[in-house]
Amino acid sequence: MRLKTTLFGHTYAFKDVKEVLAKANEEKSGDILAGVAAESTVERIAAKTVLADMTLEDLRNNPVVPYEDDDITRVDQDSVDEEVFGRIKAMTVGEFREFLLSASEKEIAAIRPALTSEIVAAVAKLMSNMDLVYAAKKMHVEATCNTTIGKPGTLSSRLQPNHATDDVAGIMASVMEGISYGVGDAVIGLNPAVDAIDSVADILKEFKDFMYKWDIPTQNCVLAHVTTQMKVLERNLAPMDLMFQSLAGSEVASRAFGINVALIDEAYAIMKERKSSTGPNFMYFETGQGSELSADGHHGADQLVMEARCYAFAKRYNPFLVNTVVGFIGPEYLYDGRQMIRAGLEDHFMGKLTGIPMGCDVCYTNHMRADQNDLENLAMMLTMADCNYIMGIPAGDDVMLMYQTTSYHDAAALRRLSGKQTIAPFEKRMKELGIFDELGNLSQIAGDPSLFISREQEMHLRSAV
Amino acid sequence: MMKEEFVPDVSLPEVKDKVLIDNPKSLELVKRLKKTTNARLGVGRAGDRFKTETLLKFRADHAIAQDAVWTEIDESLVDEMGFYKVQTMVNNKEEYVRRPDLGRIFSEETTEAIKRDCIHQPDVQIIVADGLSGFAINANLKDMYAIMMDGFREKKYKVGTPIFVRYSRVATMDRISEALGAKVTIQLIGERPGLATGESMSVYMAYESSPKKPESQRTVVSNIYSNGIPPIEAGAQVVHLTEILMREKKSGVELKI
Amino acid sequence: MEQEILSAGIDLGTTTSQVIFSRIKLENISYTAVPEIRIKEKEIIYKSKIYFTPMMEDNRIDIPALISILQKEYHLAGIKRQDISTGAVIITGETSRKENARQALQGLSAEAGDFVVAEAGPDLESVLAGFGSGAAAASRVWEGAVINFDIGGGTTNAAVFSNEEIQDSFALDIGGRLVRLDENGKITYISDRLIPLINEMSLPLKIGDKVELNYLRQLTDALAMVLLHICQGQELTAVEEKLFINHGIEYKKFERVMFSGGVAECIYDSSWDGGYVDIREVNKYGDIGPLLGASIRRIFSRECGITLLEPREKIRATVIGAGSYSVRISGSTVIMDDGCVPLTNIPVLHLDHTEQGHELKEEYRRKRRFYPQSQQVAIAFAGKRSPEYSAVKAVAKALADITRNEGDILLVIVEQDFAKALGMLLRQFASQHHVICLDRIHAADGDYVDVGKSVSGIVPVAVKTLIFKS
Repeated sequence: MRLKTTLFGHTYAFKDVKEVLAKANEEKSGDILAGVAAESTVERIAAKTVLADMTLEDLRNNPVVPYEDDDITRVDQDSVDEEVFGRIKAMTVGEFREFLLSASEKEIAAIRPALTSEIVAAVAKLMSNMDLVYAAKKMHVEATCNTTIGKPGTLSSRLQPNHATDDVAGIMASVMEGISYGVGDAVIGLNPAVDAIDSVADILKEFKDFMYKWDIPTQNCVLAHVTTQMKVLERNLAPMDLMFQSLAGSEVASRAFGINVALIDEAYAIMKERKSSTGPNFMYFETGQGSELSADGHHGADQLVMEARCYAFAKRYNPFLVNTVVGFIGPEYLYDGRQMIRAGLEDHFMGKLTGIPMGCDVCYTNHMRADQNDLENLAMMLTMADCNYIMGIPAGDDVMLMYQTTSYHDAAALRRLSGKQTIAPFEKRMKELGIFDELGNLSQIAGDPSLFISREQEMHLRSAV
Repeated sequence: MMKEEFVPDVSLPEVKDKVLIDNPKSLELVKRLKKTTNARLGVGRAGDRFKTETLLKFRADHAIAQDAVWTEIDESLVDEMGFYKVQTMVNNKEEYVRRPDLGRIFSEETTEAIKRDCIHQPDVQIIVADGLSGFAINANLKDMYAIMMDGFREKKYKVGTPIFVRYSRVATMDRISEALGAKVTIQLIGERPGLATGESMSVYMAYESSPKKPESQRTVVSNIYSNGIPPIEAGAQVVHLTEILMREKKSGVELKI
Repeated sequence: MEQEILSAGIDLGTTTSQVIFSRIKLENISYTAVPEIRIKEKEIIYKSKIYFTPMMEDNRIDIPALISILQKEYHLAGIKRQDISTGAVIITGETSRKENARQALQGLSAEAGDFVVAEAGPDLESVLAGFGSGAAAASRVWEGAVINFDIGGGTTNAAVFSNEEIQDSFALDIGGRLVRLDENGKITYISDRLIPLINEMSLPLKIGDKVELNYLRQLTDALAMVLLHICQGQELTAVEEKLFINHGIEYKKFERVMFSGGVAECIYDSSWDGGYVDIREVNKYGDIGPLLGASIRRIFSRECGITLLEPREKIRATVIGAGSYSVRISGSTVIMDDGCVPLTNIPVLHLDHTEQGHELKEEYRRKRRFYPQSQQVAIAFAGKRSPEYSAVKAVAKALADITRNEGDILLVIVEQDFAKALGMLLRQFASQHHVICLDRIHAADGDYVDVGKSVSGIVPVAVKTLIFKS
């Protein structure tokens, strides 16, 4: 393995794979904060040059967190198909990039079982933004819960009806408006303000009732801590189609999230037994670059490679949904719109390459140097990259988490821009309800939550009279 | 001469209350749905995009939040109120945003200066920090400080030199408490702005606040501004909490309130 | 963090009386050191059987019998009186006009627990029944207003709701027991209140006569038509108007109607169409209740432009309203003195001018004269959304000044959220008083408030708004 190069007459020597990976990363404020970033632009390119020369075997043999120390490294390494790995291990990262850009979807799928997080992150570091979109576009990962997400030609959305105090009527008001825009085919999923068993159960029931009453083919989820959801299941308090957890890329960082591999294994097992959904995929994970550093669990590695490790963790559970919450963490990790866009494209690409059904929460906070235009740029790029799903919230303003993400309008506009549709049964139902026209675009009556009031009224009607 | 007329102010909160849907099935019911949440519902659409008013309102609300983060705090108020002023290791706003680690600490000289110039062993040490919104401090400090001081005088607490910290994260309270040997340390700090809420402030309180203790040592009051918890009400609550901290000699999660 | 309080509702009606207990779950939804308490859930945990209200020979309420019913029900429910932290006793219908009604109320509330007690009054009863029936909740999902008629033995109590808020309330002398029959179908009682209508209709109905079912039905049809006309916004005849108790209404159309109360059990019972067959069937309860129910069902089922809504509760609507909806909770940062409560039936003195100290004092003096010096009053005012400290200080000084020579307790209620600040100042300026200062509660001149013991830092308050319009 060669760790040195010269560029413009200057010598660049790196001490190990971890350093090369970190310095090869596109500029991120989080890597600077961690003290692992390249010190100059030329050094960054030198690191990329050295990285391009490394073999996939070099990367496999040098996980950024040692096998003995970390349950996620073990999950990742143990899942490698040795036979497939043997076929590709001599390939350099540079060659691997070219392979991904030129191979067919099938050929890429065939080598997927040989990949570790470090390989996935490494090749992302060599790709330009358009490379990331171009390569991702030929990787489709489908998953089935009640419905099937990720089919070519679809762009789904999560209806995120967050409310400052979890008031059920207020949550449902946002649900009604969201469905009236054709949003929610991925999931109706709330981030609860209060992580309490009873209220989580109440909201799950409310979502399920709405889905049942209006015959909406989708899945319900409340994004509480996994232990809260497990209690809901243990006590049989409410129907749950999808189980959620936020993931981090190391054992130490996971501890800050109150999880580890054993706990998620346990959660998966109980969910498998008690879930209310029909398909084989029933887990939902969120991730985001920088959370490992924030939890002091980055082990001196850069935030991109730590993010890739989250996907290896997620893959273990054949999830239905995985998305990065790309601009949520703050400017000390992703400083501005440029870094946010880059990270969104990287994460989506890496997720797809890992083999998980990847979506993206395209978002920013108010203390980032980013605005609505940056968000819209990334959303359009990801739509082009065949991202499985995005978020949808009222006018882009999340009144509980206090950040901005894609709006109900954005989801509809992106479908129309790209000619994509929602998941087929959902689309059919939206047409029946008159929300979509025959082409699957928003109809005249779309965007009106009062469309969904009448069933509630009927409960008060005397049927006999 | 033509009369001077104004284009309507889109920053007003009531702009958010409007229903902009063309021909809703029931206007009254949409209005009621809107009352159940402060989410931006019922905005209607122009094609698949926002109407102009929705877009401008959104941009205005984001603009005030951005300016709250990036504008240097106007220090005339803390000067007028006689605060002792110090600065963390951070040199400017951009560094403040990028380097939370530097916003938590002081140089040795600064620490020495605090020790030299400020009252030691106070019962109550008040710190004001710009945090992520200098607007928040200038909007809320005056009244909140007045009621707190009245309350502390009434309780006959020994109040320390009030300190203002520029480019500060929450953790500076631990350093100052440690330097001065304070019992209860109270830090008023500008919160990360939400849309349209650039003036929201938080208060962090701890008993014998120390860098050696975990963050859970802190008792928090947040969302202090004219449309959240009124500053004077928050001030009264802080006085009440101070009494509890002084009595129980602990704070944060150890304290069951 | 969750807390529970137990609430009792006791309804002492013309015909029947009942008790319910409900559990009100409060939860703190705040992560910070400022609690934010909200009512999470109201669950009825016990419903008594429905008793006939015990009456003595002389048509007065049999108080000892009533108290023994209450004791028995507490025992059956497994609830001790000291566990009850809130609730209401409500005396309704004709019973409230009995000469010993007040003693009955006092006897019951003393027996039921140290909780908040609501007085009788047809308007209050109307409102509680509308909450208990589900009309208030239904008004949230319907455009326009929903009117609830709670028809009991003696009176009909109506409440109009829009988006869960009360718009209007009134009461009528229409009820199932205003005409009573013996087992042979002989009339034993006709309420005086119906005589003008009966006379105007020239119906040959007299005490002691064997009843002609046809005439009885003409009467119940006429009563049902009164309700229909009210819903249609039609003006009533002079004789019909006399059925209003205390005050009439402003006529306007209501598209949706709900019925509760004992008679509603017959309105929504489709097993009998009210058709004439057997006097024994009509005379199930020895009164015209079933017949009135059938008349209403028939008349409101016609194409009359009015939608009949299904209630959540019928005969129990009022008691459930009393047990679950009579209480509000204060804000969570208040100044409280639990040694001073419960305070009941405290008249509200509302100040409109609190900007200037002298204006405040002037208004206070003017309004204070209506009450004896020894009478405890509650001082209420709205206040600004986020007032300046100097302004609140001025109000506190003025209030302390003006109440200097009054009784022990200074009770102040503001609508906006600054009771902790105001109360802290009142404690400084009016240190001779026990200060209770609550917020986020609206109370107006003429209201009465009851204040209970604090639970998790918040205080249960009943504001009794009696919308008598004379």
